[in-house]
Amino acid sequence: MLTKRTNLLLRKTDYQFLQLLARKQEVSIGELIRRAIDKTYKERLSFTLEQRKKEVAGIKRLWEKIQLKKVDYKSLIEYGRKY
Amino acid sequence: MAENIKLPSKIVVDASVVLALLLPDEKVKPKIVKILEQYSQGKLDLVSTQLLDFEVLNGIKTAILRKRISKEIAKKIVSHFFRLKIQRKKIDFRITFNYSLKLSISIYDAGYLALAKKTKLSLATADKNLFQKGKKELKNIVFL
Repeated sequence: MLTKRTNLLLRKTDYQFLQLLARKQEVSIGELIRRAIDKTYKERLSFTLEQRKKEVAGIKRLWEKIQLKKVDYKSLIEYGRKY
Repeated sequence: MAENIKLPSKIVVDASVVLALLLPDEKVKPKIVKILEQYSQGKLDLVSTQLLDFEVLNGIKTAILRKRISKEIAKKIVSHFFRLKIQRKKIDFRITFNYSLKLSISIYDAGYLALAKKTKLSLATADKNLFQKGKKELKNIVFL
């Protein structure tokens, strides 16, 4: 439910762009901004909380299969640039 | 609801740190575990340059060539690397070029430095050379 009203200042060009896009997609400028918030901020945050743990657990499982000693990380990168 | 959201802090990581994260040796493992813990709890965001992918993939490829890891393991590592969703930020190549000349470091390394400077974030590296030279320009540089 939409219950909070806010004012925001936009650049003229951004506003004109949103006007065009809103007309094209047949939605309001407010709806475009709400969609941008969902896509830009909420998606990033939900990835952060759910996927991060899964990825870290996966990486740690791989560590068990690769017991490494004395890795020169810089040398790995520099050699890889050449070959 | 919004009050409960804690925004994570961020650090710039270079390819040596990301490689250490994916292929840790005994020495760096304790530090890497700490970074990953913070990352998985959403307390820490990792940021890097657009050059990161080239550098990390080069490093993983070398690890195969040097028989440190198998191709199969490497492919899994690469998948995890991309799924970590490290933010790639654009760098100013002119500033990067100037750092490279001034500090006698590669364009790649100067890029990490330029990004840390621009974003006012700390730079983490496992590269001694970058750490030593970077200290001259950047206060917040951490050696892994």
